[in-house]
Amino acid sequence: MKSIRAIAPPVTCICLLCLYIISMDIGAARAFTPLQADFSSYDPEKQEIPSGDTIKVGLLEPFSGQSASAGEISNWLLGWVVHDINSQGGIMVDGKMKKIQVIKADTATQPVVAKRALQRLILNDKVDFFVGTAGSHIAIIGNQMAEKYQKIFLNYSAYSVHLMNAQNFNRYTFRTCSTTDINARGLAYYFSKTPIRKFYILCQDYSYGQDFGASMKKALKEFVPTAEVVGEVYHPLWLKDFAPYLSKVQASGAEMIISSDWPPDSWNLMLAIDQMGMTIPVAGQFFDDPRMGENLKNKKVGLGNTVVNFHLCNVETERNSRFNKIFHERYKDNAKVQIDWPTGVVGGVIGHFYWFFDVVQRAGTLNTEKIINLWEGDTYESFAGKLTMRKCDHQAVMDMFVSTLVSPSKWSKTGNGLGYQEQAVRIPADIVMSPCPEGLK
Amino acid sequence: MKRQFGKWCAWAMILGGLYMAPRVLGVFELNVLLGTAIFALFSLSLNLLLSFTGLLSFGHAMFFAAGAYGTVLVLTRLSGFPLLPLIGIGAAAAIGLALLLSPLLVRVSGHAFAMLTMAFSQIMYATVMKLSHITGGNDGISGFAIPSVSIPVVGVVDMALEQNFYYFAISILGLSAWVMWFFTRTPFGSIMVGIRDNPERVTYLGFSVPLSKAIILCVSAGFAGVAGSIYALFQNMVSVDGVLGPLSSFSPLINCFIGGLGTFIGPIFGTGIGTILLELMSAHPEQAQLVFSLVLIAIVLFLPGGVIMLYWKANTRWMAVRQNIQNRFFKRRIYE
Repeated sequence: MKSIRAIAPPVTCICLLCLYIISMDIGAARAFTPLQADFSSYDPEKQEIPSGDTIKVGLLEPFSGQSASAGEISNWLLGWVVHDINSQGGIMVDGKMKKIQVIKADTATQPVVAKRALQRLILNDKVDFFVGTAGSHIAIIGNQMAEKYQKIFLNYSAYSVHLMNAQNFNRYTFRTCSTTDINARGLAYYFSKTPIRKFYILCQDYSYGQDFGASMKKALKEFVPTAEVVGEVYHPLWLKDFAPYLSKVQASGAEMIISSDWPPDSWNLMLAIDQMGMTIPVAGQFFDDPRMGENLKNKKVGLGNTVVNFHLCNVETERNSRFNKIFHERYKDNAKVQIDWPTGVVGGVIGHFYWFFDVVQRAGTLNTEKIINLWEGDTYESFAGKLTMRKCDHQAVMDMFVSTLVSPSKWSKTGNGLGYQEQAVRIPADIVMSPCPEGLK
Repeated sequence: MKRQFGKWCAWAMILGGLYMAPRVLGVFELNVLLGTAIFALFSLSLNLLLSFTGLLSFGHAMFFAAGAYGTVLVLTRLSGFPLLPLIGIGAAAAIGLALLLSPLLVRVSGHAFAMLTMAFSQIMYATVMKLSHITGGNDGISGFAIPSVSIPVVGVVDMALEQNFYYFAISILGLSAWVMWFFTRTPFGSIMVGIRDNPERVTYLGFSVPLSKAIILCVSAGFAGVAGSIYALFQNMVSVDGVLGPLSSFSPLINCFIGGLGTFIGPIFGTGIGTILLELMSAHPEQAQLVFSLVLIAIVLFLPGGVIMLYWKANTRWMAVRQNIQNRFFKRRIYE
């Protein structure tokens, strides 16, 4: 009896230790790993909606109006990641395996509509987090609502630099995409290595376009002092007729248009260049979309377009090659999607969603404060490289990639046959990143 | 006497319901209710022109926008401005705009009036976009603090709280709706109807039609301005598409059609139905506009007088049935 008493404490300790190791092992076994699912069955229009106790994620995007295509793309990309994670059983949070449920909210790219949609998401649908969104003027509403209702807002596609300055920063918003400043610095650095010197700035007339124009002028001054901005104009959103603006570009003698335009404006701009018989290349973030080449008659339109992004499929990393292979296998013959390789935004945003859900998984809880604490300063190995969440302004720190559109290209399939050059140019984070905004530590 | 009692009971129930709403409903539902009330007032202001004066406006949103921008610009530029006068500023901005445009607008009617109002609304849209350094353009102006209200005895009321703002806004909206209703019951209300039915006769009676139209336009614009002002404070933002977009002008018009033209209360029903439809369709934004259009077509085809016609028809039928029962009972009593 005495001997049993003597060995009881160490035996109990060993048992507890074993239980702990087993539970850790189960946790690890239940953790999701990116790109494990069978994607051949994935259809964004027929997504499975899990029932019961789920992790509710609000998707704040335009699903109606001129920019509805942006919403469709985001739904497709988020659906990809959710399909992958849910097929692996979901995420272990608060001691339970939970699947992810996406709830869509239409912004119609109008701030007031977006605000109403967000209120519905937060107060009625009771989402745990919300993600979005196309349009910096919509993202600022997201910032305000995230702070008011203390919900984490993942901003993966609003680039205006002032969104996370001292005035607009709040600790609930995290931005994983680049900023107008980062994009501009990446482009300017790239141009410093090319002979192009005459630029025309043509952007949309709202916060994002104006910020990009200002950032571009600053970056050109820093990296290409001999560059000349021969013209600068800001056009209304969802413009159909670019002819008056392109006439000005023609008269200015510019060698390259620099534009922050996103679809459908970017498509319409390329179409107008074609219709006016011009072949001037455009530099920006969204001029690599294979869908814009569809209606172009001149095979030379778009040739030389320079794209800057936080992800490109022609970035050589082991993870990216695997991702490219899986993605291409799924979409190589898909006439509906028309994007057969993960272009900049497509691949980048998928990577950022994986990062976010990985943070939630590691936090093991839906508690906002715990997720914030874990994500601040966190590092994640994405497809194209390392991402770090800067604590001072919740801005992801990343390398940028620049690529020119060429023909023929191994990356192209649709449109007028354009695609990325063989390999993207990597511009390290320490060149493109700006310091923390004034007033933020 | 019995009818009067029923009326008072109905009013007591409505007021009681509005008072109890924040205690019963969640924040989201409360916001939907307040948003509906704001758009109901906006629709009522258009109804003054459309149903009572026979003036179809395709650009009524410009007065709504004037109220919204007037309030927000003063609020963001002049610190310490009290809340109630801010609503007055919104109304004054809209009335000022109506006064500015009335020399042109009061001389026309019918299609010309509709086209001119649309043109002025588009000019205002372009101006707001051009003056983006003041108006915020596409970005709009948002995130401003709503001033608290100091009430004697009660103390300082924080208007950032949804409940408090609801009571404040619903009181102003209710009062405005009542004033508008009262306005239609005055002798001037008869002149409005006269202008709609026979403007020449109004002139023969010695009233100036253009001057009367100018007054009606200012009154209608003023209440649209009040709705715009409260809308901006409620949303805590103002943006060009939110207050001046094509839908902003057409939604009150659609509300009037759905609710029923020619009645005062119709647009309130129309706004309610529109809101319910929008909420039901919120999960399917891609199909929302299609469903909304189909409902509108169905109402125009099968209920040209709007949903209020259902009420009138049911009421008339009920009255006839009641009369019938009363007659039979009365006859039996006589025979007995």
